[in-house]
Formats: sequence, C-alpha cells, structure tokens
Amino acid sequence: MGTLWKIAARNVLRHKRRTLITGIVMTMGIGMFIMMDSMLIGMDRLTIDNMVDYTESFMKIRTPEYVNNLQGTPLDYGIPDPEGAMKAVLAVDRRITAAAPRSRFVASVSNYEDALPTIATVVDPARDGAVFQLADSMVAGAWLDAAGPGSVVLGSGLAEELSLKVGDYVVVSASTAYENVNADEYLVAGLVSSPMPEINNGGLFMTFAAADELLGTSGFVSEIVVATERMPNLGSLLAASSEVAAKANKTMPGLRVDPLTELAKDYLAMRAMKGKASYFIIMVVLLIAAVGIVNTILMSVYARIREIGVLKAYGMSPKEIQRLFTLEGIIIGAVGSAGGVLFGAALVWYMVTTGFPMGAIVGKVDMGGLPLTGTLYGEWNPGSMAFGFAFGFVVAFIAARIPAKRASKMEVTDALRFV
Amino acid sequence: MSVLQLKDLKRIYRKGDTEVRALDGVSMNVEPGEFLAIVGPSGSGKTTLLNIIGCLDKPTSGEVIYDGTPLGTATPKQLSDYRKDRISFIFQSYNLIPVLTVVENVELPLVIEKRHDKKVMRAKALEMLAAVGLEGKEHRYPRELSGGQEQRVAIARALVKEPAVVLADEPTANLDSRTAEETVDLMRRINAERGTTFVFSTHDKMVMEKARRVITIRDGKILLDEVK
Repeated sequence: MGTLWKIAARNVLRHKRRTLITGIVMTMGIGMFIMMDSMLIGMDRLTIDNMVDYTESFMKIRTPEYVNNLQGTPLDYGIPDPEGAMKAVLAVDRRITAAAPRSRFVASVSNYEDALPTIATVVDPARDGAVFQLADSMVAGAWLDAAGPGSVVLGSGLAEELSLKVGDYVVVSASTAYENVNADEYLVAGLVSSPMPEINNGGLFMTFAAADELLGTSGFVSEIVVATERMPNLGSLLAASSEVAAKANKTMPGLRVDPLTELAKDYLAMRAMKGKASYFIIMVVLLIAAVGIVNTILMSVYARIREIGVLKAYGMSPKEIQRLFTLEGIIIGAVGSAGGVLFGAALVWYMVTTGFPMGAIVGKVDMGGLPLTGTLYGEWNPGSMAFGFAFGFVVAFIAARIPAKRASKMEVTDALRFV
Repeated sequence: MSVLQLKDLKRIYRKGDTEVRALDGVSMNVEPGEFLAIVGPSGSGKTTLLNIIGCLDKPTSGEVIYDGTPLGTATPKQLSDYRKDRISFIFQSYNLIPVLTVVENVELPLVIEKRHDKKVMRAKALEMLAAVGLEGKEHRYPRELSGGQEQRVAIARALVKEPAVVLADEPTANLDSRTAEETVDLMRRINAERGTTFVFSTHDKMVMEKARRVITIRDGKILLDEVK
C-alpha cells in the first residue's frame, strides 16, 4: 500500500498543470456552492428580517375571530385588554424585548384630485418604534410621535403616485365602526421608504387618537406586534418564534399567537420551491467539477497505459491497479474538496462580515414584490461545507473508479504495445 | 529438467477475414542457465513467442510447460501469479516508473510479490543496483539517467526477485552500439554468475554473436536452432 500511495501521490504532483486545473475546477465548484448556499440563506434571512422589522414582527397576537375575518380587515374582534396582553407577553420569554398595539382599516387617500385605496395602519408611535424600524426609515418629514395631531405618514411611493410632499394635505376616507363613511383632512407629516414595497406603495400610518376620531372607535387594537432580541441565524429565529408563540398561546387564553412561520408562510413556501431550483443549478456546477475529475483521471490513465502494462506484467493484480488510480482520484478529491471548502469559507466570511448591497446587485429591477433590499449578508452553514466536501470527495472517488476499472482490465500485451 | 518446454505452439489471429498465423507449430526446450536469442525479421513471430513464454498471451493451441507444470488450463489470475513468482521482463523502452526513484523501481517487483519486509526489499534492491554498476544512483529518478543506465535499472528490476526466466524483447534496440554491447555483456555476466536463464529477441548481430544459443524463426516457424 505504501508504494501505491507513493506512486499515486507523486503522479498527482508530477502532472502539476493537470492536477491544478482539476483542483481549481473543484475548488471553484465547491466554493461557489458554499457561497451560493450562504447567499440563499442570507437572502432568506434578509427577507425575513425585513418582514420582522417592517410588517410582521417576531409574532402577532390577535383574537381567533379577527384572524378568521382577516381578509375583510374588520373593525370588530379586537383584543379586549391590549395593555394586559402586552404585559403578559413580555413575561412569557426573556428574549422578548418589546410589544406594541396596532390596528388596520381599509381607507382611501385623496389629494383632492385623485384617490387611491390602501390599508391604513394605526400605531402607537413611541411603542411601535421599539418593535419596527419605520421611524428610522423616514426620507422626508418626521415620524408620527414628532408630528402634531391630525397628521399622517405616507409611503414614499404612494406620495409620489399622488404627487404629494411633506406639508401637503390629504383626505382620508373610510368606513366607520357604525358602517357609515367618514372622511377627514390630514397633514402629510413624513414620508417613509422601507425595504418593503407594500409599505412604500401603500403605507398610510396614523395614531390611535386620529383613527378613533375618523372611525368612531375607542382605542380599537386588532393586533399586538412583538419584538425580540436579534437571533444569530434564520433557523434559530424561526425556531425561537415558534417556541415563544407556543408558550404564549398557553398563557394567553382567548387570544391567538401566530409565530413568524405562520406570518411568513407564503414566503417560506416559495423559499422551499426556490431552494429546489437553486440546488439544481448548484448541482450542475458540481457536475461540471465531476466531469473535470473524470477527465483528469482518464488522461492520467491514457498517459500511463504502458506503465499499467509493466505493473501487470510484473504480476500486479487488476484490483491493485484499480486501487492505484482510485488513490489518485481520492488525493485530487481530498485536496480539491478541502480547497473548495476553504475558498467557500473565505467567500462566506466576506459575505457575513461585509455583505453585498442589494441595490448594487438588483438595481431598480422589480423583484416581483419581494422585500429584498438593503445589504445582503451571508450566513454560515456548516452543513453545506460538510456536504460540499463529501460531494467532491465522493465524486472524485467515483470519477476515478471508472477509468481505474478500465485500466485494470487492459490486456498486458495491448498496454505494452500502446504508444 | 528443462525450465521451459514449448510443444507445437500455434497462435492464430484474425484480421478481418484474414487469418494470421503468428506462430505455427513452435516446439523447443529451454534449459536452466541458458542465454538464448530469438532472431528473425519483423513480423516473424518473435514478440508473440516471447509474450506466450511470458504468460502475457495464450497460445491458440499447443502447450507451455514451466518446470514440468503445464500452463494450458491456467486462469488469467494463475498466469499473473506465475509471472509474479517466476518470470521477469526487460523491455525495449525500459518502461521504468517515472515517479519512482531508481531503487524504488528496482524494489517494485518485490513490492508486488509481497514476500519480504521493507528492509529486506531495500537490501536486495541495493545489491542488484551494485551488481549492475549503479551504486550512487539509487535516489535518482529515471529522467536523470542515460538510456544505458535506464536499461541497467530495468535489468536490476528484472533480476531482483531471482526469477527462473528473464525475458527481454529487443533490450538493446534503443541503445547506441557501445551501450548495447555493455548491456549485453552485463546480462551475460549475470547469467554466468547467477545462472539466471535469459531469453531475448533481437535484430542486432552483435547481440546474436554473444548469445550461446540462437533460434531463428520466420513466418511463425523455427527455421534454425544453433547452440554455440
């Protein structure tokens, strides 16, 4: 075995250029696989983080009746004791950092000439800022807590559509709790631009006091949104959300607590589909690397047919010949896979520490409403690194076996005659 | 007892519709310690005969008997084992393993044989290298040697496992006349000192003159069998 290893290792080193090319193909293939996997997880993380930071929060507390009638955005089925519910949820898990009340209603916004339908969001400006990052996403004017009464904040896209700017007045009309239509005039106090297209293109935010006056409600709260400390990765975020929601559901009778996995279920389902398509592309990349390995070993076999003849003439068994060439494949596989993991790790490290600005990648291209802006950070995934290494190694092994088998079956006389 | 007996060997190939009789009824005995040259023009059947003697090829009919053991019904594995134990080869183009050093190349048949431990293998290899006059070149690679030196390494490799027969297919064909003569002299010396049986094919008159027995074949038949 020692001499076989020696021959295999020295042959790998002898054909430096050939080995280098295969090694580079493997390193690139596996490295790109690891990076793409990291990027895909990072994209999911960014998307989910944006949902958490701008629309859905870590989990939502609503009444079961409200959830059942969610499509109608009713002004009924509110949370009976929002303050008590917020106090209770803060005590459920020490990872929960804040809770804020919200409600939503169907509205129409008009600039006196044109009107656009929208879903208005009613917020407690100070407490909402502890859960969402809207206050930090103002592109003009101020968030509601700094604005005076009778003010609203609009999404920047909605404002642009209606040719509105800060300081202009809008008319907001909506069905009241008494099922008649009411309208009032509001000052545009600020414009918000977030990574979420739905906020930018349809966002209308007002305080509970303003909403009560418009809708005839009395502090109607349809949902409580909850914030948590930052989780290290997407998996832990989703797991923590489910775990905390389950605990909260037990301690909050009459209310329904939905975790992120439920709130973002449409995206998560799409992510699973997207994942399959992405892995197909990655498999093609790895397959190209596999072809490179087969080619290298095949070339090695053809370049050494006479050598094979000599070894067989001296009584080396076909199994030992096979082992010799398989060892070469294993050495290339191990080195290429290790290189791939190191290269991939370096790319992931860059993605994790520096990230890519999504604007630079995506530009103004419409991502089909996907909330995917901001800086894209990668995520470490030891599983993909282990898979990348194992794949490279196994592919190299299998790729080497095919020509190795062929080499072992050659007739000695044919091999010795080979020029 | 003859180390090798060949009885009415025939080797027939088919090339399309044509039948090629590479060997056509060859019979001969080889005694231990012989220094035998097989000569004849190209296509006369020299290499086919050597391949069959070397258990690298099987005759279409006839019998190959080594040390009284007929190999006619031997399986490829048995033939391979027989080669491993009893036969060595010297090739026209040396065929050293380029990634192994001189001493590692010489050790190779012993490594394949798996009969000795590392120290014994190294000692035997060094002894053979000394016998062929290559002391001091043990750790060189084949590419660092001249053609004559490479062929000496090939001879050392062939002899290291102390085979019953060494087969050499035109061992001097790639060497200049002086190196060729030195190589044949070396083979003769080893033959004389160790009693190793050499059977080799050649075109070279000088080599024929140094052989003690010369078998001339033509069209797959023995034309002449001269013992000097």
